[in-house]
Amino acid sequence: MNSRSWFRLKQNAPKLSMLAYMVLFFIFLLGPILIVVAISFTETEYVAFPPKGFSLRWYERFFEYDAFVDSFIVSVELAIATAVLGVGLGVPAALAVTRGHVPYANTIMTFLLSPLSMPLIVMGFALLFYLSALGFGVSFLSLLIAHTVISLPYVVRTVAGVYRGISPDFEESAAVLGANRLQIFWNITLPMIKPGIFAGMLFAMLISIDNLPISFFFGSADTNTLPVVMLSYLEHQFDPSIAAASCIQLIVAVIGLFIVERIYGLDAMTPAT
Amino acid sequence: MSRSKRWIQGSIVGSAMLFSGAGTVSAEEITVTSFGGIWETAITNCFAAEYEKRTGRKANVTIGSPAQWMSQIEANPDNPPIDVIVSTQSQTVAAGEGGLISRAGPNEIPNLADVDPLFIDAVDGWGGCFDFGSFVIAYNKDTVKNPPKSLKEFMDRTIAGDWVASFPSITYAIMPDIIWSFAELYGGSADNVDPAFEIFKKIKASGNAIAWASVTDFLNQMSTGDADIGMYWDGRAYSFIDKGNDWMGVITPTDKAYMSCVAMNKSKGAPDAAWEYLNIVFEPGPQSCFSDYLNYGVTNQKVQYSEKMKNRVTWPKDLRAPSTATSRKIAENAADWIERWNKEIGL
Repeated sequence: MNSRSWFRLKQNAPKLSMLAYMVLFFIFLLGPILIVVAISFTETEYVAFPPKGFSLRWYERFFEYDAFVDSFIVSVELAIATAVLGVGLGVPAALAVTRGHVPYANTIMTFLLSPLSMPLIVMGFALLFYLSALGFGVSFLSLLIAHTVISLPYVVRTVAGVYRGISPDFEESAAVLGANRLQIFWNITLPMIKPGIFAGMLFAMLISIDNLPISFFFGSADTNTLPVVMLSYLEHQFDPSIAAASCIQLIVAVIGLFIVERIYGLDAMTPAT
Repeated sequence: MSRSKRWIQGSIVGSAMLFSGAGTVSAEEITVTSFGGIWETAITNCFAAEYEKRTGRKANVTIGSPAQWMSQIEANPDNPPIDVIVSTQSQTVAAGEGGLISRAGPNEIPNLADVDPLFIDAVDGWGGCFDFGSFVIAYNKDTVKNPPKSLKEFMDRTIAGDWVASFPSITYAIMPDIIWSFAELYGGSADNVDPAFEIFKKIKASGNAIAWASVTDFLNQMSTGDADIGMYWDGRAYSFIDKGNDWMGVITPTDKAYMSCVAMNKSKGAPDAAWEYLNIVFEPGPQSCFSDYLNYGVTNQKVQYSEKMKNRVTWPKDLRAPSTATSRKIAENAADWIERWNKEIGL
């Protein structure tokens, strides 16, 4: 290697190191997912990597087994309902705490975010007893309340983050020009916090669809979610249909992200914008 | 509290209950439980379908695990969401002593009278086990031409280097029971497990042993050739063979195989219809059907096994099962044994 090449290499070293780091980072993140995807197409009866042959039989098995399909439908319905309820409760709370001049705003915000710091298994157990004592029992509504509790911090945090980044001048100007509170919210605030609402809904859906520790305690013939059924299935019949079920769940998340990207753009969903 | 506040609170709870579906299961229906996968298929087709055919009432099968169901019953003692619960031996005894399930005998479940007492004692009289599995020796017919007939021969020839053997790892849930069963095999007991540790020290020192952490691990090890032989559940081994892996063979050891069983019982507060369902669960015909699905033995002594199962079932006389008292000792000592295993064996 001549001195010129050596100099060029030395000059590009930080860039190359960063590139290598990024490649390793993505392999670390995506490797396990790619392995699961590959296993879902195996021909063999057992989970093994590298997979042998190519087959769609485990996807067929997913759709043949009623418990998988029924619980998948419950998971999707629950994720959507959680996102809607989370936004319904989280957005007013975030707006009030951020700029509503409510007393103890910081304390209330900490309380709203507190589900993040609780082990979910403890939360699930506690909510089961609490909601049962209230008469809700093991039902879809109980499951929805429980999922909303754990999703709420994500909605509140993202909406509050976006709202804080917006200058109060816009709302004040509208008020000076004679707009009432509802008009200010509908025409000024809501369009500006939309990225936060979308991001919060997306987080709420993903948290809900992936949740096991909470759903575990509220599972019944009508309310079992896909992760609960997958856990019970793999304990007693660990075949590659579990990989196929994981991929289908993954596809739902990717489709969700794709729709959000097409409607709003993922870049726009950060508080910085 | 003001009238309006009470009205609002009442309306919220009332509407919530309306939408929640809490308490909407018809009194004609019962909710029964099952593990997932092939278990659910067998329970639905052999027990629930039979119950529905005979009574005209619906049996909803819910999938999950005993810890989940027991929490749900404990949280709703007056109106349990589960009527019939499937659970392991230790969980059944714990649930009985915790007041979650009903004590059951032939008065409540007439078919229990025909169940081998071994499977009643296994749950200390809290109903009975309806199916059982035994830990047998599974081997690769291509690499092990002369398989061992007993556990002692299996251990000796593993030490001698005749093959690479796979044993359950200490992380596997029933390993303390396995330690006890080897202690008894070599002259010890639940109070003296030294003989088990001595033999496993020799196994470890031979370098001819590997461990499986999950039931799938073992099948992978056998398929890839990492292991030639090992200890495994009979039903799972036969199911694997039935899926076209006829290179695998199964030996029921002549010096008794460790047995673990699964019980079914009525949760306290469940309707009497649950007894009718349980009586079907312990009836010979439905049990034979269940056995065909899972390749495991069932507990009614009058069961007529299918041709396939006749040669596969480990008969009760060939089983090594801990009594309830022994099971309690195993549970009490499990943490110490695991720690000792990690220090002395590490397999």
